[in-house]
Amino acid sequence: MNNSIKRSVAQSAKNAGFREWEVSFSETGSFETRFFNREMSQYKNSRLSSLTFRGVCLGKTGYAATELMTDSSIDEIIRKARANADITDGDAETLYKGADSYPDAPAYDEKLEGVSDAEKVALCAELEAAAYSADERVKSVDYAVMSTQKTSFTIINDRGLDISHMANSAYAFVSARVESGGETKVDGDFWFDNDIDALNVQEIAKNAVSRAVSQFGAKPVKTGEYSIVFENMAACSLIGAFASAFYAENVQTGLSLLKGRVGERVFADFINIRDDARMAASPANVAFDTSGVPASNKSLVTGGVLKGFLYSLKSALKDGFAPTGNGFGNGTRYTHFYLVPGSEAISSVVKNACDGLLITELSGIHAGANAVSGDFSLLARGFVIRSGIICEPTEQITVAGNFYDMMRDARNIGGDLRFTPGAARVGSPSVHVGALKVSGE
Amino acid sequence: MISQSVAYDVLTAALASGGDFAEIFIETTRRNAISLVNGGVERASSVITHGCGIRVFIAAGGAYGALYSYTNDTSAESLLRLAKSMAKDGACVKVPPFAVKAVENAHIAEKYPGSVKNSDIARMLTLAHERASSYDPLVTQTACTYADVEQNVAIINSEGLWAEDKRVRARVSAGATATLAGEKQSAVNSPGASAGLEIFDMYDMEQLAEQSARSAVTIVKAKRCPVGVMPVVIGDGFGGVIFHEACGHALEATSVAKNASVFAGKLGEAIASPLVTAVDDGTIPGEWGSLNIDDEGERTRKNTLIENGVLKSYMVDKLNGRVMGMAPTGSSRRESYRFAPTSRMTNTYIASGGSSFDDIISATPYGLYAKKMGGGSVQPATGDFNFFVTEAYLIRDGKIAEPVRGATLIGKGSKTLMDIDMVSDGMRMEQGVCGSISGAVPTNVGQPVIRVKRLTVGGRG
Repeated sequence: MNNSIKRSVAQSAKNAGFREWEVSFSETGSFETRFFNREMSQYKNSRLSSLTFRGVCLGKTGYAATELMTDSSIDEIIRKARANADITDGDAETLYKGADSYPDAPAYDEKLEGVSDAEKVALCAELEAAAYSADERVKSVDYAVMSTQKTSFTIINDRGLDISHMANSAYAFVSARVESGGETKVDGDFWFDNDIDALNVQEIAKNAVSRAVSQFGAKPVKTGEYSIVFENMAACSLIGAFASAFYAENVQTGLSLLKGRVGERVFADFINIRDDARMAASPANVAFDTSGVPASNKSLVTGGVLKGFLYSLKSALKDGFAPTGNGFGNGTRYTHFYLVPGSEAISSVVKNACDGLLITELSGIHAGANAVSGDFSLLARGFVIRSGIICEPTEQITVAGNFYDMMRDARNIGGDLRFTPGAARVGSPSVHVGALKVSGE
Repeated sequence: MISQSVAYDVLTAALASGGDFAEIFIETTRRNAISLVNGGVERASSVITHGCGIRVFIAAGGAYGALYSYTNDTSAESLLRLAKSMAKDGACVKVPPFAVKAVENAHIAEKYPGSVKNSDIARMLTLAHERASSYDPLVTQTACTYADVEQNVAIINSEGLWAEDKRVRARVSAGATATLAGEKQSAVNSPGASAGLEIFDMYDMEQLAEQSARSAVTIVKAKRCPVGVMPVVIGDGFGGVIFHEACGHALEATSVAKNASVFAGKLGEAIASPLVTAVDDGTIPGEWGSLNIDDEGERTRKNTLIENGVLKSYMVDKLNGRVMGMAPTGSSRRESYRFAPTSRMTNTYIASGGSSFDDIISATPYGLYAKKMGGGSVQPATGDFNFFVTEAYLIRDGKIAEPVRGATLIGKGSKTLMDIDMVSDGMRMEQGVCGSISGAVPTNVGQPVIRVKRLTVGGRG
């Protein structure tokens, strides 16, 4: 953030009558290319910057943000922030004066910046070609995507805070459409990291195609109760849908069924849930949240017992607790929210499940999972498990249950922890959750 | 937002990539939002977004690709630098003089954002909160919101197009959560329009709040929905999400051009029951999904997608239209300058039919009446869809019986369209936000009450 913007903010904040103010400034550069029909179909790059203002006046907080960096637009949004503060009934917020020290949170890999756009295009072409050659039943590679992003983030306030963070990441995704005997199946796989050396396009393509091909002949199973194993990424989508129950602000407003249960055994005794701001080599590592509070690694559930919640500066103040460094943007969010893995291979989890279904994909999470009640009813696909062996594929079924009941009655957990991509990541190994209602034929 | 000479230079520089078409999309958007949680103003915020996207079409090996760059530094130097970064060696197409397109605004906001004080808006939301929370002791939480957006865009292309448009939209919501024996169920009503603060005159916030409270209390007391395959009567208004998901997305050129749609190559064929006529109409005055011009500067229009069951038209954008050999249909949309536009829906609905609601219920000995739908999703290549029912009742002996909760409907779009066996009168639209590859755009979904003779109902019952 340059000094003229800083001066402009300080002057406008004073004119608007803010006693305290804070600005965060982010800059993002991104690149994305896509291939379709063995030709480059998209080539996209961007340079973005934005400024977010937070001001406190008479114990009330006002917010505003702009991507237009002229003096007049900065003045406009700060005047609006004041009008916004005036009607806010929320509890007083304070600005954070900064911590004595911040943890080291490596999220930036210099080597990635050395990869040219032409090299990224070549990797994308290679990814698409690998998917085409993985199986002769590949009819089309509907998406082959390679993207990179670099972000930097600075927070400054009039209490002396002045900290910055930088991160970069690369993302590859391929989706293959396979056809055989009049049937069409689609599946994909992704990779997300900032260590470009770890990218193996052949492996991503092979996984995507073998997942798609394995679904030929899939049929609904009969309606009934089935013992369910969620494969790791399917488990991630379920767990991610209910992560907000661990946000203190939802506990405070009565929108979490975990309210008042800290210290209680809520889940099966082998269930451990953590939110870690720093993991070994992840582009989502952060040293502080967007209020400048140091981001921490913490246990939320240990041995099935609820240990605590995720706090922003604001929600922590309300409960008289220390913030956990989970205040991002307008509210709370997790960093790496995950179910701690066990040691068993998925084959062993499936074997122990004996008879039931292995669910590999869940759809409709945004509508079919009720984050408050824990109820879910979702379109699913996967495989029938018979005598501990993965058998024929199944599709056009729904799997329904309740998240809290399911985690309480869970049977077993695998060692195959995998995370979703992005700035806020959910991780899970495969989980054998016991009996759930399945609607099919 | 940009001078003609800068636009000319930027397009010319971008075309040095060897492309045969270049386009500038520049926007300044102001958003304001106020949210009231349990009666207190939780947050009020204001945001300005501003930026420019430059797009170039490149023909390669018979296929068309697009280059897209965007930035929020819209100074002449920055845009020229961006355009030049897209350029390689190649023959340059010449940009003709710009012809400024007259865009008549058919969606005029009467009360402009900012014309009503924040405190007056907060007061109207407070009344909604009070009505919902006093409706029933089971109502434990409320959330009421107001949001407005004013988007000013200029779309300029190398064919000489210069089009500017102002889009003002407002949306309110009144939601309630009911709690019974540790169970929580929520309901929300959230109407929106291409309008300003007159949204508060168009909708009675207290009535919306009471409806939400009534739904939440009904659902929290309801038993779990029985599961299996059964006839399903789908309610009007947001029930149209079934068509939006199961068919609308698969009629967008985005998937049709790639042959990745179950409806690709089926123009003129019967793809739905003869009772189904479906329309995407971006011109309806004041509607949430309406636009004067689309995000490529093309006038929106009324596109009949399906007429009496026969596929009549896709929704086509410029780039996919080249691949398909079809003219654009005024359907190209993007969330913001950060997205290249592509074919999307506007106000999409199934037209009214000849039955009445009572005819449909009395003709159904046993089934599910899915009165209010939640969201859902679809895989266009297979047509597999899912969506959640937020308020439902069983139908027994041709009458609406007890409420049930937690139902999900799943199926394949192509089969479901054929299985629509009754369509009522009284088409109604409701508002949603549709997410796809060009971002989140405001869309209306709509339909009269319809019956699908066989659908898989999922849930815990």
